[in-house]
Amino acid sequence: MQLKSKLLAGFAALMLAGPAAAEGIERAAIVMPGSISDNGWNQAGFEGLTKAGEALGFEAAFSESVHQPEQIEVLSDYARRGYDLVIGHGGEFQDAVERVAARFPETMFMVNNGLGTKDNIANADFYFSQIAYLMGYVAGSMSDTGTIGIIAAQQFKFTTDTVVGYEAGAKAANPDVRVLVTWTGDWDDITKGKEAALNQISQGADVLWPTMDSATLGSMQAVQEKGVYGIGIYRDAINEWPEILQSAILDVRGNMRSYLELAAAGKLEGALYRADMGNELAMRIGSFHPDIPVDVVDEVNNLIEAMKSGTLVVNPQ
Amino acid sequence: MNRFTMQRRIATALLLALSVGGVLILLDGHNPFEAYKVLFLESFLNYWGFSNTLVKASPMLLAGLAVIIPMRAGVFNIGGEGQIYIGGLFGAVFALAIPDLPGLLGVPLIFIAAAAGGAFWAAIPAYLKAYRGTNEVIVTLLMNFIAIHIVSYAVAGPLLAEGAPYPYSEEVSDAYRLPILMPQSDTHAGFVFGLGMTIILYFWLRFTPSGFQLDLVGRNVRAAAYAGVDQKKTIIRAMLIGGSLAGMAGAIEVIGLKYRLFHLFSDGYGYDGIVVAFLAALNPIVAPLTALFLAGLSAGAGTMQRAIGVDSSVIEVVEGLVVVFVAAALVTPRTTSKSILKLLAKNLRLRRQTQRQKKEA
Amino acid sequence: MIDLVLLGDVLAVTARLGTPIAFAALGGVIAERGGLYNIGLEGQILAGALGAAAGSFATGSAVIGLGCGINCGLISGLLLGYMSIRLRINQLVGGIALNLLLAGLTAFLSRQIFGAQAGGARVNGFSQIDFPFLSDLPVVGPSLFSQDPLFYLLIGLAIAAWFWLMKSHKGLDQRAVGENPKAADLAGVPVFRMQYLAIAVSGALAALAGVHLVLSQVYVFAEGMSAGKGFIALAAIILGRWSPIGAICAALFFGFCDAVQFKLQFTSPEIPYQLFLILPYFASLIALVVLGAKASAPASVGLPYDREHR
Repeated sequence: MQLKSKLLAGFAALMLAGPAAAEGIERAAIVMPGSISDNGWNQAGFEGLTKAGEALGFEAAFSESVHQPEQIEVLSDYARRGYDLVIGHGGEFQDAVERVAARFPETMFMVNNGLGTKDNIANADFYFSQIAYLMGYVAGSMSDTGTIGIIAAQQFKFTTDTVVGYEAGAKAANPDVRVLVTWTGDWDDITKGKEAALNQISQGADVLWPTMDSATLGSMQAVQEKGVYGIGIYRDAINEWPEILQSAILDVRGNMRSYLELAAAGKLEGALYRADMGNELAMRIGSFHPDIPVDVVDEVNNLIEAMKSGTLVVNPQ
Repeated sequence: MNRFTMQRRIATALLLALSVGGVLILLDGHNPFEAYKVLFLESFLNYWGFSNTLVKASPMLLAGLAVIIPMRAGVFNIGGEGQIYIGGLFGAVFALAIPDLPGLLGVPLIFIAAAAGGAFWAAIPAYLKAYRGTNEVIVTLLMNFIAIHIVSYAVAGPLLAEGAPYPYSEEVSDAYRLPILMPQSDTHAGFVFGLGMTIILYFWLRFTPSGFQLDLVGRNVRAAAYAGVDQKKTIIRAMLIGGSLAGMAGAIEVIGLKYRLFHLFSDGYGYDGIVVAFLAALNPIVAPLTALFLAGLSAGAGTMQRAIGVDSSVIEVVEGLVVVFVAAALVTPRTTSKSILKLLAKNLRLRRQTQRQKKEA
Repeated sequence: MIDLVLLGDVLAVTARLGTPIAFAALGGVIAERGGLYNIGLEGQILAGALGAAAGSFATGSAVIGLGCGINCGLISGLLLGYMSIRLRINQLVGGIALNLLLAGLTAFLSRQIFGAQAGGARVNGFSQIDFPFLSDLPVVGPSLFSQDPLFYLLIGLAIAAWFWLMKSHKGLDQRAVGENPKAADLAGVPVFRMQYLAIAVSGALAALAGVHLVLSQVYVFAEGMSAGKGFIALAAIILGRWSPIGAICAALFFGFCDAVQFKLQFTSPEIPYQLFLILPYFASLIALVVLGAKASAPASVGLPYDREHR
């Protein structure tokens, strides 16, 4: 299946990459820290680039499971092979990209969830705390026990932003809510994900938001077994898990699509492309669970409007 | 066995491993010949590829030596990975705490700090092994996990760089960075440093009394005791040397490659070191070759994915196959096909004998 | 005053987290008692997990999944056996290479089998068995009498392994091979056959760890889902002093530390979470030092036996 799509991508690139694309990019590569079939961050990055490549007519390449010591090598190799746009998929690539970008001033670099732009380094990220606030609001409104949970892997800016936003949103819905936070230290260990969730449930949490990669599967397994509610991430997860109240669609594909369209038109600059609730292609909420009362749905929609108009500012920005 | 048969055996082993892997590459929808051309040309014969190979080979070489030296004294150091982490941590803390020394003074001090860190981490299993008889394999293994989490805590907490998008420390100052050997690449002086260490250790093992003692303890504890060698001291000495070597590998990753201390900065180099050590038959002078081989394989494997798009899971299989087959080729072949027949005959005779004995009894 | 509900909960988590490690550790004990290191446990867990997921995915039957998983383990065990016994590759290098190989192969095959679904193809598994009345017992109820069938299989296998190694003649033969293959050979024990048997069973047991992960815990296969359990099992073997029961106790101890670790994160959120992640390893280290586990490995483990040089 994959093979076919790879071949198709190749042919599509050959057919379409004509003079039309001469202005923008002809070849783009993405370098990912994990596996392209993790159902999460990495898979989203992989699909984001390959699908955009097919649609916009550039050749797309990828490297998966690239660990710390290889980052510089892999990024510079793509630049050397003449890729016009090289994407580091995750903040852990920021430092390596800065090193490599200085050596290849003609190549454009992008760091998804990066922090720090230069002439040929762009960043794309999400206003994490904003959407987390909405999830927290839903969770806080729907909790019967007054205890909700969030499970994350590692502590760094984007994950702590998410936790802080989630807590703030939950407190806005129910000032007495108790928010449990578990750090598992591992993005992909499914058993750990499950145990962390079971633990929060036994502490009384009845709405859980697992925010890891593969490990999320384990947490959702626990949510399903124990009959509590979950919150989804990256995509509208209610389609896979009926227990999902609402999903924070951090549409990595959509976000990438926005900047890749700019890139294809030759307009990508060394700037920060941050997706917020105003950019529906990249960041939006998913479907509401049928159990959610209408007034909560309305309140959430009002919050979104307030975010778009700027009257509600969630910190940290 | 002469050198030519050995070379032939290794060549056959490589060929076999690559043919099996080739089937998988074919299944993945790529031309195996093209893939292998990339694997070898770009890891050894191409400027950039070779530079990548050298970058990977430096920690692998030191980690390999960190296994070889204790193993010669009969101690199995699985803890290279943890010692790399703690060495990197000590080196980075020193470099960040005292950022203003001139490079010629600062770099050696960083190496000493890192070596001390690695040695400290190795001292615990060494002491437990020597004085309490605790199995060193489990202690070093457990301490690897602990070390990784300690570094993870350090870079996410006290050492976290301002506004970092990922757990990593501030950069070390320019003066402390290892010189780049191949212009425009990341090939730092780490491998040359490793070569220097290799030569020193080779001569130490071969020509000094304390080096002999190591082998004596490793080969025959009783004989060593008769010869008046302090077994406990020898074990501890070997582990401390091993730990410092691995610790310095950590420093090289920090001041040679990343210029920062990163969460998860070593990608299993400590475990690669075990393979390097055994492929080199525990001879330090061969370790640079086996480290280059393993590093080239790993660097070339990455290029296979980038240049042709071979699935990374297939590449892992090919790497595993090559290690298995080459390791098999390096085992001294005592049982040739002819001698198998002889062996069977001998077996039969023996079994009949024992049966007869049983009956008689 | 100990909170009994909390304690019962911790014990239940202990059983769940400890079971896969216990299976793998049991496998390791069987191999090492036959004189062979099995460093390939980590890879074999993956092989078992993939086999179980594929078998259950294709047929919809968890039992067939179990059978497929065990078979994958047997094959990977025999492969390691061939490398260690026939080719006489250094057993640590062979094991490390096998881990690399199986990590890649399982990822590759899972992408072929599950296609785009990889990482998300849910399969049928086992559900937990609640023993009437017993499962309602305080403290021990949920951990002992409300587990999945594989947990009870583990208990059964542990007793069987103990009986085999310590009480049966064949088991004595096997231990003799692990201690002194030369003497065993001279006494008429078929050394190589014994070793192949031990390593195959070892692989199958390690695979059961993977089967448990897939069919009893999360019902999906994910690349690299063994997540280091095979290496922790190696530690459990030694901590359990090469005895089947000991290794399982050690594995459950690891599970217990992990379970406590999750609890402590809630009660003491101000302490960095990495310290809790260190806890299981640190506790076993301390246990090792306090119990003073002297080196009591089977004397010939790791040394390839060569009949011509006896």
